[in-house]
Amino acid sequence: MKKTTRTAQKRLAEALPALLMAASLVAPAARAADTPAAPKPSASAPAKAGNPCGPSNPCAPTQKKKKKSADNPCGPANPCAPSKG
Amino acid sequence: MPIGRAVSTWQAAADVVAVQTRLAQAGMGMAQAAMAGATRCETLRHYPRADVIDRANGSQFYYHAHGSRRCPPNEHGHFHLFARNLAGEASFSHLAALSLDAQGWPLRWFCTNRWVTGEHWLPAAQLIEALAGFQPRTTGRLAPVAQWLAAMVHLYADGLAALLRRRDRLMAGRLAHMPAETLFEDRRLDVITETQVALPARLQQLAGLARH
Repeated sequence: MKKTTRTAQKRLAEALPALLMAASLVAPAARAADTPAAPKPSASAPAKAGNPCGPSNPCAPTQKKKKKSADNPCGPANPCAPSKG
Repeated sequence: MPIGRAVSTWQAAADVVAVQTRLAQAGMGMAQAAMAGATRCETLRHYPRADVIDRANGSQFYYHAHGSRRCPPNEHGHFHLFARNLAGEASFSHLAALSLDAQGWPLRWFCTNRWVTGEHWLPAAQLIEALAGFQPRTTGRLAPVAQWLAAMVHLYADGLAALLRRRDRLMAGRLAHMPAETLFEDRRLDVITETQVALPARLQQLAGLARH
């Protein structure tokens, strides 16, 4: 094994216990289901295009709407689409 | 293993450990860090709201949470990682997704069908090349999250390449039986391939601490 690799391995071996110890004390993040439903937007809030995963930038070009599937009539077209930026 | 890759793997492992330790010592797991200070997790909301976009190197990611038939019961949420502009200006292609448990430990990498993100679908070879350049840089509280994600991609480079190639093989097999548009828009098919992640074990193995 090369010296640089041995050094990197030794450093990793030394750092790892600190991570495992610190991580064991981390409180779990609040889950989506644990939190109360999102408050309804106020009348003055800008309306989203009906796609909860659509671009968050209100000036983004409108996303092309895709046909909704029969088995999921309320599903967004692309639930995991990134923001257009 | 090529020496370049070996050095990169050590550096990636060191980055993953350093970032996660620093956050954990501040009482924060990666899931909480990904939510960038938000105290509540709203289903399907992007964290951060406008994603992290590094235009300089075409990397983009965000974190969110929602249910799915294939979702592990202990999943808190997942990152979606994208490469931008590979197929023309304003295009984006999904590289992979990484799910976390509530403590912020990674659970699985997975690849999604085209309709899930509305991506520009590219073959695995191009995405694997793009993975090597996934280095999102940002400022503020998401900077360590971006650094950690880039390191995770490098740490699991071989597994991600295999995952993407398997995605293409599975899709090619299905394309023999149905039109491409039908397949890419098939709402019954969201996650195409997935692979479990055991980060502590991977790090222990690299550190030479794994039990034999």
